[in-house]
Amino acid sequence: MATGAGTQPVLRLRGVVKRYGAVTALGPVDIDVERGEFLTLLGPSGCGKTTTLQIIAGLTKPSEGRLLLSGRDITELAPPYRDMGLVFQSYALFPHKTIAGNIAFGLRMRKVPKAEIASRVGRVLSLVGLPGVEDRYPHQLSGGQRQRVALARAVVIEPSILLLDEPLSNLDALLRKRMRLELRDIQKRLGITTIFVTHDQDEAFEMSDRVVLMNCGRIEQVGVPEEIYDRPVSRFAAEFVGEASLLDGRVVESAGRDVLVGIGGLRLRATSVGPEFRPGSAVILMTRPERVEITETDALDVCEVTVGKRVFQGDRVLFDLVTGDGQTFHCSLPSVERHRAIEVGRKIGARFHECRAIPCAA
Amino acid sequence: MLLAPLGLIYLLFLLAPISFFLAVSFLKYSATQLYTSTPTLENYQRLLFDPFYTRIILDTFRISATVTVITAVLAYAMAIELFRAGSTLRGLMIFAAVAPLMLGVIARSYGWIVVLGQSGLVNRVLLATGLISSPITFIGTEFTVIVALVHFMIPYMLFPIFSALAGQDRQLVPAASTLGARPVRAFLEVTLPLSRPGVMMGSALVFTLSAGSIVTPTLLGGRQVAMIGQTVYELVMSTFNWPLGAAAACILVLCQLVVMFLYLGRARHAG
Repeated sequence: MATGAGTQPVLRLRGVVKRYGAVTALGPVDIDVERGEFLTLLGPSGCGKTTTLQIIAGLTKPSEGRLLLSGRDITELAPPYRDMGLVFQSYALFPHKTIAGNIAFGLRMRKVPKAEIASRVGRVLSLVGLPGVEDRYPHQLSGGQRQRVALARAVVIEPSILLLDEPLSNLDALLRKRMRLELRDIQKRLGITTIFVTHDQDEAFEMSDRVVLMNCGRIEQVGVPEEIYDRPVSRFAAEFVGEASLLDGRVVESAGRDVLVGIGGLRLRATSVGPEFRPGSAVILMTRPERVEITETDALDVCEVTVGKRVFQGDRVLFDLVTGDGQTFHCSLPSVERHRAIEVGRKIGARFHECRAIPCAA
Repeated sequence: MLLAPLGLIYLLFLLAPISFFLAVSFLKYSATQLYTSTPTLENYQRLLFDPFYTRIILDTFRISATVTVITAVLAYAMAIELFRAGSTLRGLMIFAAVAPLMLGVIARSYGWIVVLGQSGLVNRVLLATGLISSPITFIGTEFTVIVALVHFMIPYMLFPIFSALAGQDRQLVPAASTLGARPVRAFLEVTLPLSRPGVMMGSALVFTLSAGSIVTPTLLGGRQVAMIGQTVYELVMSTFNWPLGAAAACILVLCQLVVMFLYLGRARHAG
């Protein structure tokens, strides 16, 4: 994390809305982006993340709201004047220019002297791991190489903010994983404030300082990856980020954030993700599959369950655990012998650790 | 296998006629027969050295080149508008561009007489507003021939350019924009260079079609305008000097072939 207390956010979105006719595609949204951070806009298709990025870049005009870059209102400013670098999902390399020509483009627009252009192009190509391709054309490069050129082109102009619109989507899985690390590495070295758009939760978590989770044009939750994973504020957040078992229940007892939730015949301890629930409130109980413990011993906090389904997944074994009154919990255990031996139909005890109580939708 | 019928068509309707008048162009003319069987080069000598004919050849080039350039500029502007238009407006614009082709060439040319004639639309408006005191003579000038040719050639330039514009990645101009290029710069750096194949194809088409035009220069150019197409027609149909007419036709075809090869050469290089 690159920010210190009291540093102004480098970019602020205030009340940004985008309407297409009668449909509100986005908003209102408020986002603060800290200097030097890697911020990801995460969400399913159509959630408004790309629209937000386009508004930040100036390619789309917001219907309402303001954008402030280092305190300056840039809402009316056209893209050429915004000092941002944008990497498109399809890379958008100029097919009729060489790699050098592509990368030099932004520098030429800024009237950088020729000699300096050549050296900066050379340096940035080394940075992205593609030395020596200056004289080739985009169609002669592979997908992964084109992606690096697109990144180089956006980064060489040393923009205030780097915007990336699902840049890894068109790469195969292996290359994608590698590029995640490289991209993050380059970003850290350059210290550029970066806004990244993706629908891939693993990607967002692996790369980001903070994540903005979006759904249906609104911001669902903002926070560091661990916080969103551990304390999702809604059903959508719980389901979109990682696997979860979500069951409807009612608060039986409460003491501040600690609650006892009743689901059918079960009584489970949980921590609220935010609000303090009063007894009688309807809540969603969330357990994460990896936080389920299988045990033979009988104890107060152990539930009797029957194994309903078993899926072997290599390093883990997945189970569906069904309680006496038909509630199903998902369970994911490391693939050791003791766990692999569990078959469908067996009755065992389950202990659910770190449950969370999530408010029901308003 | 499938190429056989196509090959046959080319053979019958293209190669055979061209070979025929290629042969005739090297034969001697006689007033009594259409052509004799005596070989000679005098037809080409006349066409390439007699100032009367060289002037016609050069004029044809000049007019065709002018038409091509003007059509390219106008059609490009139209192609951009067409590209930006919504589907209904686009349909109307395409219809308006293609409409001249749906009439016969004679009807089209007479249409221009209605507009530019002594008592035509333009002159009437100019006289009525007092901007001129006596009608301007448009018909019988090179200007009118060029205007009419441009009018007919627009669709041949418009669609290749439009095609080239429509085929471009939509994100290229936004990419240029975010890199600091203002709209005009983005157009010059990205859109225009990438549309070159379309412009070149359109130019090749328009140039060859203009060079071979007969009816338009005849009806609208009067005595002042003489183009090769007209010369071929007169020699073959009026004077019945088939050898000379055939030679003129061959020169025309040769020029058009040169243009086509230039286009193909540069198109291959650009690809």
